Amino acid sequence: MRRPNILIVDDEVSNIEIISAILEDDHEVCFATSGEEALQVARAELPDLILLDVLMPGIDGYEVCRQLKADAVLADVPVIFTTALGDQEAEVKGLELGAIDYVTKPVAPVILRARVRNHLDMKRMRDELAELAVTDALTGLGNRRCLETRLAQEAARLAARGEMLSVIILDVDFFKRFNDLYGHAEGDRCLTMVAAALNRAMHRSNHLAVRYGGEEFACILPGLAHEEAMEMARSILTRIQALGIPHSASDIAPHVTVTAGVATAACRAEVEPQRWIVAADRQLYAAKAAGRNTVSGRFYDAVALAEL
Amino acid sequence: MAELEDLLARRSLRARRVFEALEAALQGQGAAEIAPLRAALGALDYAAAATALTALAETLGLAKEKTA
Repeated sequence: MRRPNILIVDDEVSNIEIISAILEDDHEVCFATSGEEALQVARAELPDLILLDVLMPGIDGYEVCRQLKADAVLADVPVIFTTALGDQEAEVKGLELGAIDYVTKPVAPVILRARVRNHLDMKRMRDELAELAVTDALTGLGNRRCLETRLAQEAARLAARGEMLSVIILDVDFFKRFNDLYGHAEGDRCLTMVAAALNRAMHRSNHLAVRYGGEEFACILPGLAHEEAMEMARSILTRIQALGIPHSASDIAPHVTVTAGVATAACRAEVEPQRWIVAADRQLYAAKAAGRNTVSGRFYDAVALAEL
Repeated sequence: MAELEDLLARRSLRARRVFEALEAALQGQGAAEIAPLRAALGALDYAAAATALTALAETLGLAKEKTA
């Protein structure tokens, strides 16, 4: 099991030595001796908890805390202020800036260990809850919230260089009939197998497959040109047909098939990420109208996408 | 030595334990370069420690790419 990583920030080396001696047996400990270095190390190491001195030359602990809480990646890292100051005003200021706790030096080893353990436990539980909130319980893929968050992140990232973003939406053909014929347990098994096949098709680390809802799935494919995204969609259809899940109530094939809509556009800051979903959904309906078990796609320019 | 280099870059306090193991393994080799490395680690001056580690690697005839 991974040992929690704790960042100690203090301009006094002796204070770092004292605190690390208390924590080193049960944690990975790294350190920084200035506010500037603390921010660098925090960004590089993504610690599970930060013990932060208030009074330091240059950027003080309050400013470090302020910058940590303004950073989307680091905002959830618990910060405990460690300082010789004992006045209530300083304590309130630290807590108002987002620190989770406050300990005064000299630190009592038993108290520090207990507080660190409690805050690490709480962070672990928060992280697990956050993960559950974006995970589809049946398939283990991301859920709709995951899709929306990731789509917004990728669209913003790619907009800086006007790079391509493709979205595929897929629908299991005649799934209601499948459920009616084989029962919900088999329906769940079918969705789980389709999800696994879809996930296996995501070759790049930044490609994401999610369960969009019911029998609908979606893929976010940053950096793929339209024809590459179309090819990806076709390969997904082939993979799912190859599963050979019997579906005698389908009008198309004796096994489970899917239909896919693909939308590709260059990212622009002024185009809402949701437009890709709307566009892919339209292509999905076009593919359904064309008889299902097929792919329909379109490359959109920024104006066409924004007008959807 | 590569592990120590990595731990120094990551500002990890485990670097000191890894250094102790390295010092024992060297059995007196590179003693002149070991002393400043030990002093830098003791002072938590990791920039100086990284410099001393590079000097130690050179003394021991280890090219930089072999330690990376």
